[in-house]
Amino acid sequence: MSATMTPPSALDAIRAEALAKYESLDWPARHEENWRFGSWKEANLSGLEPVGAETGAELPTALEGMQRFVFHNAKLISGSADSVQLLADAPELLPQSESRLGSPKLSALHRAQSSHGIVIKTDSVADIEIIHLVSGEGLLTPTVVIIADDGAKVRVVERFISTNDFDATTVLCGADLIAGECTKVTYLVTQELNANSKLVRLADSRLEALAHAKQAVIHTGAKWVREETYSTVDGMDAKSEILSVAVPTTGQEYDQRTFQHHGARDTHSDLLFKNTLFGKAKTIFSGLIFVDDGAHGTDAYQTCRNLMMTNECEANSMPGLEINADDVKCSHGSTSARVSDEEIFYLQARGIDSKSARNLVAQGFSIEAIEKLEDEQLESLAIEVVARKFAAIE
Amino acid sequence: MTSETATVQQVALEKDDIGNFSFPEKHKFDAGYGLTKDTIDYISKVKDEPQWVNDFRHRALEVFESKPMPTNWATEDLNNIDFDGIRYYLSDGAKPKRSWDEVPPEVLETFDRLGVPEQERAFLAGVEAQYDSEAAYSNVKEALAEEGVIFVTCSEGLKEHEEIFRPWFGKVIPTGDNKFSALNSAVMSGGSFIYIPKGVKVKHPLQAYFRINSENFGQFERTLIIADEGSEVMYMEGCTAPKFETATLHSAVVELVAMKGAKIQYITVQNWSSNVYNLVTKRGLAHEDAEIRWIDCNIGSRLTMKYPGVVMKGERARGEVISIALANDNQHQDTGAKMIHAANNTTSNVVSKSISVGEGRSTYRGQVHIPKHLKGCKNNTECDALLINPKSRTDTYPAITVKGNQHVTQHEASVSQVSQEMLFYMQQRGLNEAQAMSLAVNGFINDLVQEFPMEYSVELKRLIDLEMEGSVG
Amino acid sequence: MSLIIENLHATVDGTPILKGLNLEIPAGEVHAIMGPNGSGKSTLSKVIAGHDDYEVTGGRVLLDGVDISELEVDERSRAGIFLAFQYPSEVPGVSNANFLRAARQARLPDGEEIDAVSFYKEMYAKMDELEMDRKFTSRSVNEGFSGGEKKRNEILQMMMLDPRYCLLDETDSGLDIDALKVVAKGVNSMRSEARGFLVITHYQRLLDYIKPDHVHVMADGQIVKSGGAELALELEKSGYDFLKQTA
Repeated sequence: MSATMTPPSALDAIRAEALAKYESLDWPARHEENWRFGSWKEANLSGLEPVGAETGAELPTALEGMQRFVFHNAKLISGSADSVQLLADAPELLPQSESRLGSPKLSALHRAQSSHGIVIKTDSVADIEIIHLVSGEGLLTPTVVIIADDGAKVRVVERFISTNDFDATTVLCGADLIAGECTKVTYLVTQELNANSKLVRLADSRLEALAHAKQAVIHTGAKWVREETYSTVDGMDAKSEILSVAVPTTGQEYDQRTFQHHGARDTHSDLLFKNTLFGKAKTIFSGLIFVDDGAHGTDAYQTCRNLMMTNECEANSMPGLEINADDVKCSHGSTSARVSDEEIFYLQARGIDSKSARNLVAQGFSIEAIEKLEDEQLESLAIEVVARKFAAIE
Repeated sequence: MTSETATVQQVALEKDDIGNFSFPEKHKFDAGYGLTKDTIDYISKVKDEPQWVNDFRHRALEVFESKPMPTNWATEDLNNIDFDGIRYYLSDGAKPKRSWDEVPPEVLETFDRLGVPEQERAFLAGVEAQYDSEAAYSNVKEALAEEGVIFVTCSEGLKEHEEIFRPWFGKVIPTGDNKFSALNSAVMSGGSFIYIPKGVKVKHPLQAYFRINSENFGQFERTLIIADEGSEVMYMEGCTAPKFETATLHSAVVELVAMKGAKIQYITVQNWSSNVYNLVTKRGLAHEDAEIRWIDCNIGSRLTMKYPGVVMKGERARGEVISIALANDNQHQDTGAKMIHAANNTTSNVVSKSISVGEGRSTYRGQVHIPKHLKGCKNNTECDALLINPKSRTDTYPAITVKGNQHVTQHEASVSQVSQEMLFYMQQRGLNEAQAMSLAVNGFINDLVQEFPMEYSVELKRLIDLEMEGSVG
Repeated sequence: MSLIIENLHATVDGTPILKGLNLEIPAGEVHAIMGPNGSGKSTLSKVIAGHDDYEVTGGRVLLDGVDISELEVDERSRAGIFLAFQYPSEVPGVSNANFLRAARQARLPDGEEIDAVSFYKEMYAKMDELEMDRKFTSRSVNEGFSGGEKKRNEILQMMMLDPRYCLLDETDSGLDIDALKVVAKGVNSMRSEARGFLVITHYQRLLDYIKPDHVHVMADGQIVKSGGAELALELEKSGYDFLKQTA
């Protein structure tokens, strides 16, 4: 598949329509339910210019056995292959986010300004690693589209890495996953932006019958993250697993809103979010399990656990259920607590100092969620990213 | 099969019969339809209120009119309330009687049919029976009165015991808290004002019974219970109305103040008929080492919106909400709890169980707030929903905010139904489908039913069984 | 007086499972059914009990001469059928005592009440026989019970409900030898001229303790071989393969 450019008109038309929509909508405001507890002011991205082109920087070690693609800002600086297309060549695949979670204006902005992206479409096997190197002051709008056709097995790793510690880049990214019948998809995203940057991530996914998708996100960087994950399970016996591990500290706020939508019989979803809060960190989690009329036999679970490491962090949880069918099993749970004294004592009794003990327990807390990936290579990467954050926190 | 159908219908009639009767209206005082400044003055005049109460009402009316309907988060059914079509004050002008013999015959018969005088004789310490806008009967056992327990209506409380009640009146729930607390503050009438002196532990429950007899009527009782240091009281509230064609509105405000070491338990069994809008604001203020428990059962009404709350203001205060809700066809039970931690080492506990039958909808809304300068606070919330029929609905919307690492919170919710396998198992032991369903539902709420005084728990189970009949098959 | 299964055909989700099964269990006798997985053993017990997941497409079931094929699950129970489940259901919030009382009460004519005192006396006596801790009376039915405790609870219920025909569906699965002995003791104590048993089992071991009068082998939805107790021992030795030879 060559990287030829689409005639300007098709892409321009899409952008123009999106821009019009963007201009007709308002930025999020105080009283909106979808922005409850959140920093709606941060969502106002007006006046941001797209970041310029760059030429590359030091890259992390490549993952063995995976095809690697590297973008620095909007430019593809390495990688090209068969099962992958540049978004520029297939603009019609640009996702139109469900945006039911409070950010239709941001979604329209993403579509209007979409600068680059990758489409992964296959009916066999694909193992892809995408690195987004990010720098410069301004707006970056990447996209990843994963279309797994009947029977495919797809593994994707997507990493957001700032190339320096100071540029305040705003990354507005879109992700769209369509898991066709009998497919298996594992999709890991790591967010390692610098402490001045912002991330808005609008991620939609749809699973068809017998599809099994695992989506995991690791958040360690950025000063503000707004992530809206909309997952629809539309075919019988499909299973959607959504995992998140976040380790924010002072000056970081992670606002994550999810929607587990069950639209067919005998579907399964399982969401596990683990937040470890240091310093004056703030997290907001809002999760709704929505079961359609007739989606009997749904099994849906949602758990959000907050580990409070200091006396000044803040965790907000709004787990929700809206059930319109009766033969279902749904539950959600949310807890927040500090590291238990017994665990600290046990480790101290083995000669480990209190601070290290606290961190060990906290890392264990995060790793539990990572292990649900059931993919050794991806788990190692996730653990490495998390460990680096722990080491950086004094 | 025909005899079976006959039985089911008869049961349905019986269920509605409990409160489904009314007497011709004989009001001496009738404020007419709609709500204006004149309505307020009418009410104040009839009650011969002090000026400060009249001023309070007028300010509240302004607040009510300025606030929008909260349909941005609540159901749009609220828009169906016709405020101009409601009568805000109806009474016979008499003061509440201290003896059932003196109560007008239809009023006596009403409460007799509901079993109130009998309960009073059997196990209550005091009763207030409200008929439309005013209490027809209000009495507290002599022994208690001698200990200094005050149990009077709202009007009496504000007029004759101003020094006790005024300091707390409108403080736990300010007029502007929400549109309906403002409405209540403007047209409040009836309700109990109770004061328990220091150290007095009232052994038997005090009870209030609210009865709507007239059509197109709004009942706005106002209750304020102050339990002084170290005192204890249990208060029970029951309510019914006949099944009128038109909608009626019940918008009450209940404020509880538990001083240091005091304990208040407030029990409600709500069985309004299915045309009533039941919008209630209930909140308690718990001081050091005090405890406030709301034990709430909602079976009736067309729409109930009620989120009992506790503000834990003193160290080691405890707040608890135990709630059972049953929503049947054309019913929406929108209930929950609000726990605001405002001192160290406070604990809150919420257990909510709802049952949705037929096309009923039950919703749980919770709010837990623990700010950062505190330590040692704990919250535990459990809300479980049971869906009985294919079109039964349930929603859960809790919001928990915790700051700092000095606290522990836990929230769990689940939705399930009575599984086919469980029903088959019970039927194989000889129980028919209805009996099996009833046993399963009772098992679901069993733990919570134990929290009610025994006399109520029996009645509760009976009411729930009646609601369940006909839901199966 | 017997439980007669006559040319029974039954399907589940359209798939035929019982394909013309014939069996007679006279009162006073213990019949065992063994067979490989997928033979339809569990289905048989559920169909006799009246589970509506299964559709009877032919044949009938007669209890002491009365056709019970049109009766509801609970009607069959009150007529005298007891099924000891392979996987007993939990009933949260309903205590074992209340559950048994309700089941007993359902068998009394309208207006008659259970006498609490004699009920409890009887229940405790039977629990003692089954070496069940009395604490179980106030625990919710099967909630948090181990496999062995659940099976014992099934036998307790059987002893309290006085059935005519008992279907024991893999009662021995998940039991250690001690629990097995106690359960067998309970079952044996109920053997009488007035009562018939159908014991469905995968392993011959249970039949060392509950000695059957007849053993049947079930395969592919039918009874393919019948014999005395020694048939079970033969199966133990040779496995089910011999079925393919004799088929």
